[in-house]
Amino acid sequence: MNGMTRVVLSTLCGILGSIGCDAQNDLDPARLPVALLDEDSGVTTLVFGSADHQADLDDIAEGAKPLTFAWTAVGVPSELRDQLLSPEGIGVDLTSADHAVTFTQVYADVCNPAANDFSSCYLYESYTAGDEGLSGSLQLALQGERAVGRFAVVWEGITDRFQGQPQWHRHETSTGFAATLVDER
Amino acid sequence: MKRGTAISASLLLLAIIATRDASSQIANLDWADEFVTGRVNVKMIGSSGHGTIDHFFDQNGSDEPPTWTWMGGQGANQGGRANAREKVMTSWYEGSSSCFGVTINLARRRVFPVPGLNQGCNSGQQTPVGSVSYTKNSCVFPAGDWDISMRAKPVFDFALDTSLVNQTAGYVSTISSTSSSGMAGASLTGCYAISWF
Repeated sequence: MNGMTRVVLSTLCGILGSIGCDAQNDLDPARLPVALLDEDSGVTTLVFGSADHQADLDDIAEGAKPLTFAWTAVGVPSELRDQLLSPEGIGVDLTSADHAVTFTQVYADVCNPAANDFSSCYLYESYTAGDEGLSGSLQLALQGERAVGRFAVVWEGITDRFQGQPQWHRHETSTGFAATLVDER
Repeated sequence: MKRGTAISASLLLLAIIATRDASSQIANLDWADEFVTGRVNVKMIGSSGHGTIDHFFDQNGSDEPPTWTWMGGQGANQGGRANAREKVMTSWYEGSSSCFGVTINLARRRVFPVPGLNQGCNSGQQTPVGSVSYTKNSCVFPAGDWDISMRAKPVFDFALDTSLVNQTAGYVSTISSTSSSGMAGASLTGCYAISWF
């Protein structure tokens, strides 16, 4: 967007006060999506998060599980690496155990519904394709300087994610990522 | 008429009356097949993820505290339990370039016996059944992922209620919204009864 276009858009936004203009004017680099690519462990791992937590993504790729902000990590086994790097990327049926693709995330949800605690907590979940109770699909590709992914992940069963109290739960995640690849090393 | 015969006849009459009442009651109930118990409006706007979330358990179309009401009747077999589905209608306006997600949670508790109609939802002995949640993330940049949609999610059927036959069960539902952006969360509770036959 050149300077003149920005001035015109800003003026229009001031007159119209539209919602879309808010998003354009509020661009905050700290909240933009970023992704870290890690291939140290024989598994190709992509960790997604917002730029204000960029410094933490490397630790997550190494196995850390911070529970103070939202993030998503996808592990791709070596047999799918070349396909991941192709323009089409990979498409994974999560009900199939053919490839040990992992999906891990920390997300916001209520703290403990069984205990009537509906305040907000960050919860952790981690699955491997083929796990009991897991369904959905996952698409992921590396396109130049960007990592692009779309995930529909559903799991149901007895879980202890809510403050350690076992209870039945089903969680569905619908996520779209188009994130700039970063290197923290 | 012998005494025993008189007692049997009285019991039969009571049974007929009870059956007629139950039949009449069931005949007047809607099917509890697919029903919406709440509406949520989510607006993901701006870089800080500020926005508004409004939701309510629609009872009497008013802002009065929700009270027990009839949802309807449903067969107590596997097909009926799967066919009875509680839904939250969620409208999403995603106009943000930021990376964050919003989760809508629907939690259910079972109540026996069903408290009287018009009593508050906190009445009765409550047992947790379970919960379902739906998280929608948007971490797409550059912008162009603006998304306006209406989704019937999350959905919670009654497959877990395997022991309810010829009983009326009460359910307390709590709909909650939380966000990874710091957006203010909210929750609201409603209650209803289903006649399983």
